[in-house]
Amino acid sequence: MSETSVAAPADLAELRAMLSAVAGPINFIGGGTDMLIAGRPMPAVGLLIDLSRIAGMAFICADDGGIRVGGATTVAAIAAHRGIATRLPALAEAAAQCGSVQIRNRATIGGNIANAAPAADLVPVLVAAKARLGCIGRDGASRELAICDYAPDRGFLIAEVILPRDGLLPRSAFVKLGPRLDLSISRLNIALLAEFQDGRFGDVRIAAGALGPRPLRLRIAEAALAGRKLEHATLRDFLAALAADVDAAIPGRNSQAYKRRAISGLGLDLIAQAVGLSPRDQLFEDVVQ
Amino acid sequence: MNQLSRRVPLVDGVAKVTGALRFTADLDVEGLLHGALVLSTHPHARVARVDPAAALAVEGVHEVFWHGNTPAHLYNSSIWFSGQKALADEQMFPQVVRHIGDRVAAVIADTEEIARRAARLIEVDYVDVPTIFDPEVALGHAGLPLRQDDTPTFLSPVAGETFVYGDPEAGFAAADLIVETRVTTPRSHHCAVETHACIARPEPDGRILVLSPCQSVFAVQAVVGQALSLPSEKIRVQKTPIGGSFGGKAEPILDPLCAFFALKLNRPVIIRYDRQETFTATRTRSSVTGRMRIGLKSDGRILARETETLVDIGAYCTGGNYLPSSMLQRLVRLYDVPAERYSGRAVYTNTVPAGAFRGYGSPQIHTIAEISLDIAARRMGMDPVALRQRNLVGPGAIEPWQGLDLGNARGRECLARGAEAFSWVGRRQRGVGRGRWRRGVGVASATHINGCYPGFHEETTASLRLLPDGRAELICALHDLGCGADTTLAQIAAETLGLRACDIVIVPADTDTCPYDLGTRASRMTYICGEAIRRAGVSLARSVRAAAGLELNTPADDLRLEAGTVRRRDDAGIALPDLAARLASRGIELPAATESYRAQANPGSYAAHFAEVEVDRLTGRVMVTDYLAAHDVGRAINPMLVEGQIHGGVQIGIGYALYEDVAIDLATGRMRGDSFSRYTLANAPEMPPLRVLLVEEGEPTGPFGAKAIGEIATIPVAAAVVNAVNDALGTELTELPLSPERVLAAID
Amino acid sequence: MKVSLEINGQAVETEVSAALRLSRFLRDVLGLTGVKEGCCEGECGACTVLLDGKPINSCLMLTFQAAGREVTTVEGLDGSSGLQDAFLQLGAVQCGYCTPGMLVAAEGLLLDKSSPSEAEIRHALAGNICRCTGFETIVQAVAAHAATREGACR
Repeated sequence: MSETSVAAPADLAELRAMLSAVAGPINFIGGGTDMLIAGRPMPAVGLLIDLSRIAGMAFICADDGGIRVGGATTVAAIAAHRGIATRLPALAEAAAQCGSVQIRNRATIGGNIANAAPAADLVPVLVAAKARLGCIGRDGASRELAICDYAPDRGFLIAEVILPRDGLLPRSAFVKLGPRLDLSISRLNIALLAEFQDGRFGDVRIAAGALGPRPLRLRIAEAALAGRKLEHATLRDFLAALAADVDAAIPGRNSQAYKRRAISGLGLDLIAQAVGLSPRDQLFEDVVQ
Repeated sequence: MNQLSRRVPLVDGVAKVTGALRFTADLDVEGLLHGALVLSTHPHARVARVDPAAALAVEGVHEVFWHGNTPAHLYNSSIWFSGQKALADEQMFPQVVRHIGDRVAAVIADTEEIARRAARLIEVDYVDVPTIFDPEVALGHAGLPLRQDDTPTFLSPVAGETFVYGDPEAGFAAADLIVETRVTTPRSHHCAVETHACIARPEPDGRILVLSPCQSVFAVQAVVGQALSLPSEKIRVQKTPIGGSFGGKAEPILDPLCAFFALKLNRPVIIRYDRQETFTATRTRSSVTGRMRIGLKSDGRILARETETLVDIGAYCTGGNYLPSSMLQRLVRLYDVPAERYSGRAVYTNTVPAGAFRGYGSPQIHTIAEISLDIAARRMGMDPVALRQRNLVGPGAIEPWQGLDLGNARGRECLARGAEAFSWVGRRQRGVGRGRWRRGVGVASATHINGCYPGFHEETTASLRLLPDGRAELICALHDLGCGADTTLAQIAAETLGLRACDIVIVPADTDTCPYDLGTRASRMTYICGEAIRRAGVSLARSVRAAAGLELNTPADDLRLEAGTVRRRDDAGIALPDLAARLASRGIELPAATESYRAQANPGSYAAHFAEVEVDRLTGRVMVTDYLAAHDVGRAINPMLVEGQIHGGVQIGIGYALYEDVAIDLATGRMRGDSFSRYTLANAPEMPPLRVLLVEEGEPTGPFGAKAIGEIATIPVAAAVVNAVNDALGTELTELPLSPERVLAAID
Repeated sequence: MKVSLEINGQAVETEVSAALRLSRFLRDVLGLTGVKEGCCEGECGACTVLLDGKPINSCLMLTFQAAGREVTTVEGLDGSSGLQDAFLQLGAVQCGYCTPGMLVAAEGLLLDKSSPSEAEIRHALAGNICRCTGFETIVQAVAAHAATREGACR
């Protein structure tokens, strides 16, 4: 029935050659955990390229200045990587909370970005870390773009995710809120990268998912935290700022009333994780009295 | 005694853990064709045109069926036997579709993939007619705005039930406190992991064989017969292994279609729903709005109660017209209420039909009543356990509606022993906390029936016969839905015969070889079928002893059956295979016994459940952190399986309280929760530790004292959880499920 | 297209179409009907198989993507390992439909971690839905079996 043909290139060179040589439509499949969900249309024609076994597309390099993650690296590999857990714990945390064991073993970081779901769990971390994407165009040539400039319909293949050294901050955290603890699509997720020393925040970047078509920076909340001491007044301002960010992101939406309140719980969890405290610490309990 | 109160593993368990057990979609049937349905995308519309041309042009497509080329016989998919009176409003492919997911057409092809692809090519023109999605609106309009061609599609209310007992006015007048509540229960889905499937195969003799994962082969036979206008003897039904049902497979949905297509094409046909079809085109638990008014004395005595229920049965009647009365039946069995008024109505809406779902009205009515009672307890400052204890019925109570004896009703013991084991008093004294997270505890009592007496013919027939190898064959039209009924019933048979459960060979339910039975429903397997089997076992044991008496030259009364041997008092004996061989060598037929058992009672099973929750006041998320279920089961034939029923019932009940809702959009009629990613089920990390406490005081009319557990296991759960949340927050939440939005909205 | 892979320890070489899901290949072509389908969206886990020893949803993978890899279904679990028996003896099986996927997911966990805590077991089984048991006895069975297996290794 299907007009589709398939290819499984062995390495990036073969992939590039294939991209420039093939004239017809090309589609990519990585882990397939989004693409193959019931009810979604499968490509009916053209070439389907399997990315899941390309040497040079699944790797994690976290020993130099920044972090580089191959586009076909599985979410499970990211969750288990020591270097990521040290340099950008938020990414490890987001990966660990993404889907189920079965999904994490197949889903890829490139796929999480390319699928462009509003609630994609890895993306807020990448946005907050100012990630850049090393892409391969339809002509087989490489180009690099900021994650915020990526659009799935432009035909770029995400070969690697680059987390530049200057985008990383010493502390980071990721929290999500879904209908249940495990294996749920986030109704809200937030990532934070921050400087934090002697009880005081320095530079802060925060991004959240499920507050619009794509994850976005929460600038009001960032400003409420940056440069401030971790104390009750800061936390109260921070929670009010989070609500203001929600109001700005989804004014008039049905979910606004709920999300502007619920984000305060996530916000405290986020800070707790970033500074290594329990969310049940008295500091946080005092804020909600 | 060697088989009772034992944790015997499932008799069909090895096939299950090795993956060898073949469910319907796993069966190899030669020449099998595959069907795929076109389901309505409109909630209420005349199907003006179906153009099958493009689908028929696909290679591998055999036929397209729609209302233009299929029988238009009206039928009711909930009937249990042929000739049963019921409002017949279903058709294979109605000309006027009544809900999104109603059937429009079907494609039969060589493979499922081809059938589904071709189904997407069928062009359908719909002419929309006015819709009703809200049951309150349905009640007000009585069906009139649904006219098309001057004929209403349906008329509401489809059924009603009223009942008055005692003097409610006097009761309310004497009350120190009157509490009024309005509780709404959601429309939930069974979510058996096996989706719906059916195979039909034409037989050489002109009959049709239906292979169905069903709850009653005779119900399937009756429904197929009504839909196809075929006499019963033309239809043979065999039960296939069933991957969970919970009532969802009680009504044959695909069976009439498969049977018709197979007969028409003279080829076996399978239809297997995918998950979304299973959500939108099968059955759900009806949603109910309950208004309750309770008048109490300051000491906690209930003086009068008034209940009004409105049941949304969806687009087709099925068995929904029984719901107002079945809810009443279960309501009046729990507390000793001297004055009672009840009024229940059921209405149609343009939504997926309701049907049976583990308790048939009981989860709804007990959820409504138990949340209401807890609100009363809180308002009067009384411990909810003490309030219940004051009003619960006890052994020998007579319920006021049908005048039935409730048997050895041990709801009080469940409550007292459960509260003790749960440290109820201590936990309440500990308080709810004051910060972001609040802890609360909740309790709920419940009761449920044991079988269908006095309605329907609550009667069944069991046959047992000795096999040459010393085992025994059991014929009783049994439908194990995965709960382990086969194992429990085999234990009962084995106990009477001195055998092990694995020595009982169960003949699968088959309309050709088994006597009539109502099927697995109404919590009747252990209590009704178990008693018939016990009687057949006692009778067979007598025959075996008599036969062995001649061989052993001993009076039968001096013989006993033990470990597969008939023994004398001096322990000398003859093994059953040897006995069988000797009888056979003399041309004597092996002993067999058949017993019919007609129920004379319908005692209550009772329970008290205790939940502890933690609520996040910032996000509205509720976690159930601890759970204890105390159940009056008469006697647990197999404690492991009884506990398993309760564990599973709690999973369904927690979902009912907290997240499960197919969520029909009141503007469009579309189901929002039509996949597992949009319909949340409690998974392993979401479940609390579960403790079970069994009260085994024996039920005189039950086999070896046993009574039912299957449905009651889930009935008190939602109320216990909701009551715990209300305890934690000091709220009066009554709209289920308690989504984080609703929780936050309540604690402004 | 031609694909070779190893299934339950046996080399398999066969012609498959591009769009054939691994779950359908295992069920329909190889007759390994212990692999169930319950949702086709990675939510129920009934189709779980091990891919090079790690649990995955076979409904969300195309067959050609498994070329050169090792796939283990419930039929390929070592029946003598005791995990299946623990499920049976502790009542972790009711209707049996989720059981194959649950067993394979549990086996994948134990290959990764020989003595998981109860929380780790629950977390590892989050992608498998059982509607019958409330997961209580499933978690018990995995823990009990892990303890036995650990004991045997020492």
